[in-house]
Amino acid sequence: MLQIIDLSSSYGRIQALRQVSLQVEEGEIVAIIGPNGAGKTTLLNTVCGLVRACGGEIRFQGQDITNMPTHRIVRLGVSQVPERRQVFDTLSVRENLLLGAYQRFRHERRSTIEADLQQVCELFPLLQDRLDEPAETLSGGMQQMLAIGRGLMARPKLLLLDEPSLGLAPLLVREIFRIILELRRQGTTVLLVEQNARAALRVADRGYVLETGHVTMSGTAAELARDEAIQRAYLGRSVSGNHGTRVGASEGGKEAGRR
Amino acid sequence: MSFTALRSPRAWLGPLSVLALIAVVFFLGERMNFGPQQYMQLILDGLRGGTIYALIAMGFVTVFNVTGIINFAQGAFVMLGAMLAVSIYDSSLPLMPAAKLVVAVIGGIAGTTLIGMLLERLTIYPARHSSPLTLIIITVGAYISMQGLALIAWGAKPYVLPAFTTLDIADKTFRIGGVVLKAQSLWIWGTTALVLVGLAYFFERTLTGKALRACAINKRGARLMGISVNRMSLLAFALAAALGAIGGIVVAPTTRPTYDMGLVLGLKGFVAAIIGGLVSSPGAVIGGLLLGILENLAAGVTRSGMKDIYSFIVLILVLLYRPQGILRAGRKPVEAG
Repeated sequence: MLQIIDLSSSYGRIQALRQVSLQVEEGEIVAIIGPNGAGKTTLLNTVCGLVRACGGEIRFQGQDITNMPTHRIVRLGVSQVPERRQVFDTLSVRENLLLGAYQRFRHERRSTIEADLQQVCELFPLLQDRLDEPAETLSGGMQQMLAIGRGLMARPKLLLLDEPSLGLAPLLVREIFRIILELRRQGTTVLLVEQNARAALRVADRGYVLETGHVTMSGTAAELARDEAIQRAYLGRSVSGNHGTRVGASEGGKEAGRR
Repeated sequence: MSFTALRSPRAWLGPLSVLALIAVVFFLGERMNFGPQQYMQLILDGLRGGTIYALIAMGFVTVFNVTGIINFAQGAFVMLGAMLAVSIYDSSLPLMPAAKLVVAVIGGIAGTTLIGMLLERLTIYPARHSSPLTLIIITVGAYISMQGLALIAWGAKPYVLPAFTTLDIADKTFRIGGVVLKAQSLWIWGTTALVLVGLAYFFERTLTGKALRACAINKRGARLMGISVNRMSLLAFALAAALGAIGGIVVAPTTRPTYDMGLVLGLKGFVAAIIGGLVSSPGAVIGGLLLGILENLAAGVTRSGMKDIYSFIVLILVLLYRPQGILRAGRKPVEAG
């Protein structure tokens, strides 16, 4: 569905991505893990056309979308839930959600879009009661749900999630990952960028490790989770002192990546 | 503002200076033997001018919110609206005067809107990756070129657009308790009220209006929703041009439109927008009305030729002491609406 071939991009003179290649197949959840500043967010932004690629190619459903304007990429069915949410804070929750479907108003009936809004509310029942309140009055966790809901309102074929668990309480982190699994069940393809490698690898089918702008490792999520180097670097677990495989997503968190 | 806030000396500065100003106005007015009638008249005339500033200021706010630049070409839209309307009205269209005026008004607004969009595409769009400062300077250049072209097209002489009620140079006036009210003032207020309602509807109820607000709040987020920021910038300029043109056309019968009328009107609209905090339309309206009243009162008790001086003193004072505007909405862009 999404093919990235030898992609390079840079911010000014700092090269952020070096010949990154990766693939996302339809119906998959693919996780990109790696330390802070590895270029994970840049990668998603380059896919969306927010950052210019200076080399390589991005193909979505066979079509070359490299350096296409963002609004056209969105129209093709790629939706990004950005890092730190970027909700429209003085607009109401409902307006935020409807703007998520901005591209669809052109061809689709309002009733279909309203029905989707209802579906998003079922997925995030907490939002339902606060539809007419400004988004800035929501807690961080609920803003994250709003951001995901807004992303879903575009009915994306491919959903790009950037650090959805960043800064959230453990309980909410678990909730967010539950929703990611639910989305997959409904047929949405997800490309997930996470520092919370443990939680990400638990929901993902496959994963890539991005370090200083290039892919250093890739494989199925299970393979990656078993890999010793990854365990040391990202899962915060000494190889010998294995204290069970069922460690809640809540315990991972950002610290895991730094240890 | 809470009571604790009033304890800081800085918080007192605003109210105190307003009181001092009123005292000075009354002191000077006393020497000219002004009664309540004179003050009412000055305030009423000030409100008329202020309404025009408010319309122009909303143009500044709309463009600033969406694009982050201060569009100093705004004054040119005011002038173009008036001049185009005058030209259409003076043309040999075989129409009744009233119908001709309607055509002139619509044509003036439509023509200016088109010019505004053209201006955005030709000067702002190609430079969209430049810094805001560069873009602001481009708008200054755009203003000067448009004024120059207007001088070539219309010459330096003042024109006349008839009052809307009488279709004549002489306007109908009402006397209410010794205060004289021109019928054109009612047109100005009515039009502005309609524009405000229309804008509120547009920003609150329509998808495009919400998309425009989304751009103003978070440009990155807006782009990720599939909103084309370039198209919104074009729309913002179209809107600003239309607002400017409406202001220029309704004020034309009370002044004599000239090729350079946009300079002072545009700058005062800018002052009004600054008073209102530059990001809020309600602020722009309040700023415009306050500025209009203030300059007219100050000029009334001193010399009428000094009106502009007072406006720019206000600008300097606001920039020095209340750069966030009088509504204190300046911490972050609140809304485009």
